[in-house]
Amino acid sequence: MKNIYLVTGFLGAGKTSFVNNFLKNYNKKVAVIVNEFGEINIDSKIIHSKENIRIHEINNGSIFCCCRMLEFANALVEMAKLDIETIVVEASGLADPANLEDIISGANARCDNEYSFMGSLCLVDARNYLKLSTALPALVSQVQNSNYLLINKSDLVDEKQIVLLEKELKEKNPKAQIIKTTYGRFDELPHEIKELKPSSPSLNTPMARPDTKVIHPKPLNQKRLDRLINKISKKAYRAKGFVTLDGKKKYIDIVGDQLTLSDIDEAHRDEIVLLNIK
Amino acid sequence: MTGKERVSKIMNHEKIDKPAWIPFTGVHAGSLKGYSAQEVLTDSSKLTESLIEAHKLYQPDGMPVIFDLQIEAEILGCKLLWAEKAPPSVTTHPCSSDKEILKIDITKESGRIPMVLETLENLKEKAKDTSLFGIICGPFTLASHLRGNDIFMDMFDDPDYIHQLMAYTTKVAKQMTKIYIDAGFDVISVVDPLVSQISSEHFEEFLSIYFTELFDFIRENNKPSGFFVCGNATRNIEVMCKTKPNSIFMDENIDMVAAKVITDKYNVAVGGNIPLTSVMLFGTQQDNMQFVVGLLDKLENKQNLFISPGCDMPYETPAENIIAVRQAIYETESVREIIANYEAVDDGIEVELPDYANLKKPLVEVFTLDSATCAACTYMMGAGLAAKEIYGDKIDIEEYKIIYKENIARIKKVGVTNLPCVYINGELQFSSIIPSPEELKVAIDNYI
Repeated sequence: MKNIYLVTGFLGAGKTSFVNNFLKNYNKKVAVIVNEFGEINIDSKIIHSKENIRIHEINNGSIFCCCRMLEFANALVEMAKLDIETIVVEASGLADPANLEDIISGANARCDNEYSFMGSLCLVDARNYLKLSTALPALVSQVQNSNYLLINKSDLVDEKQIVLLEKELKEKNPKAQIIKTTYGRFDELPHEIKELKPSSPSLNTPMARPDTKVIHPKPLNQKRLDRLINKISKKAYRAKGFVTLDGKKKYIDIVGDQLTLSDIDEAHRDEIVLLNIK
Repeated sequence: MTGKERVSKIMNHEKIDKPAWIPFTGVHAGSLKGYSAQEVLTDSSKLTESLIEAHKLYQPDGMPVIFDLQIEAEILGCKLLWAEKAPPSVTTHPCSSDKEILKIDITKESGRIPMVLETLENLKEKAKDTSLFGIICGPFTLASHLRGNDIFMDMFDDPDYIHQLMAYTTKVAKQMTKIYIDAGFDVISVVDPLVSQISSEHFEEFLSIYFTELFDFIRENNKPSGFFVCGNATRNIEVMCKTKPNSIFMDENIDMVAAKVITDKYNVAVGGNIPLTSVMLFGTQQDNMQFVVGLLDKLENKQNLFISPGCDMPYETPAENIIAVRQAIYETESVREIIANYEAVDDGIEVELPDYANLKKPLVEVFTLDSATCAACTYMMGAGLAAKEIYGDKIDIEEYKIIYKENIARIKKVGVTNLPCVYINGELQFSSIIPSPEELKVAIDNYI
């Protein structure tokens, strides 16, 4: 018997970070079905460091749409033959998971009831859920079809906004357990959440150390710098380091989309450290 | 009335004898000839060969020539990831980091368009009575191909950019429309799956004027249009109608009976929505017939109506299921009886099967829905009769039509699951796909 867990949430809400963190800490044999890789992929370091993780990617539409549902069901049927205990499904940002259990029963009919659906966790981006959910009905369905609602990036909005958000989420899904987190960090989540165990008491703990990543940019001109900032702001909340801009060495500090550049005298290797990876 | 005439009448909201049958033979057509999705989406001769086979088996009133929403995106600089059994997916978005508006125009020489036009030319004579649908990528989906998923945030943060992007992708859609109409397509289908992802308020704010402009343009060029959506776009059916397409096609996520009440109010034809996976791919012939008969029974007004799969069919959809759909649309009453008999026949009719192991000469048994009304069955029976002409008294041949109760009992006893099919001496030889004379000869010779 294999357990299936679903992770949903709009783009940038932190699904991949959550799954990366889950994989890092999970010691059983696991497969991940990723419905469309985003800007941030499943961390290849994690995959390479462990032999028991398998990744299956499904592109070109939501796995819950009738045009991709088959590929999802087929992937489950194929994975039923593998020696794995757990499957984590990372849905695409606009996935409407209302029919997940139907798809699993369809797959089960073809693989001797190999699967048991354990539950669903939805990452809710504190910054934009209230705004986006009025225009994108799939986001509401994600909330309605979840056991856990993880409000992520709650440090980026004021308390009033969080209160409104919690009220809205409770209204849409009174049964779900709501947990808040900050900086997209999941290391200190209660273990039943980060290990995706169903039904557990709520614990709201602050996150510990940030994840980091180092990049080495080529010499930049203004246009390339703008592009780089754009990319970095999508990947990290904070970044700092040294770059060469129009032939001159600069110290660079990025917080969100705010940029500070200062001249420096010493020679430093061009490198930027991304902090608080999203 | 030819299929082409029936489609034209429905698109123009004129009275028709029966709904038109539009099988969306996308990459599935390739499976009939053993070609991969990439092969049929890039090679005109393989696509032509596959479509001719699909046309022969499914006898459509209308059909698409190619179903690939990535043709425009590829021309505009998106990279594609190809798959063996599905259309390609877009992997890069040229406007994802810079909010730019491209300046690329699409011409009949661009990308894979020459291949599409060559296939259309090949089909014009072979499928002259069938309405050929030109599929173009809808402006909103094309905008998302160019911009990536940030398009949804842009709707809030930079609405002006969305309007500029939509104006550009609408211009591209009009260029595609003109190329396809000049080449001779009968219907222009604007396929925009992403429309189901937004609220009707956002549809009206960002999409309505562009879709209206596009459907007006198609109309000005004297061709009918289809607005295809996939996913649960129930909330958007009314605003889609207001953009004035001739027809709207939908998948299983929408209640077509409820949707038709709205489309009828706007005098827009409606098409759909046989479930792709549960019914067409994994269902039996009976399931498919039952779904279609059930849908027709539920629809009070059978004018302004197309019956089709919810979207392009999965690659491995069994041909016999598609054949059964056509039969249910064209011979609804006899199919209704078949379904009833199929359920009832267990109580009692005894049939005696031949002593297959001790036959004096090969017995070719052709099991059909009805060779008089089902085209694929006619071809299957025709293949058997042609063999009989060659072999004369050396073989025996029998047809068993499922329209008779005793034949249903026989079919069940033999273990036949798909029609039409050919058995020789009680052993299945060919199912759904019609054998060539050579293939049938080889099979018969094995029993002589």
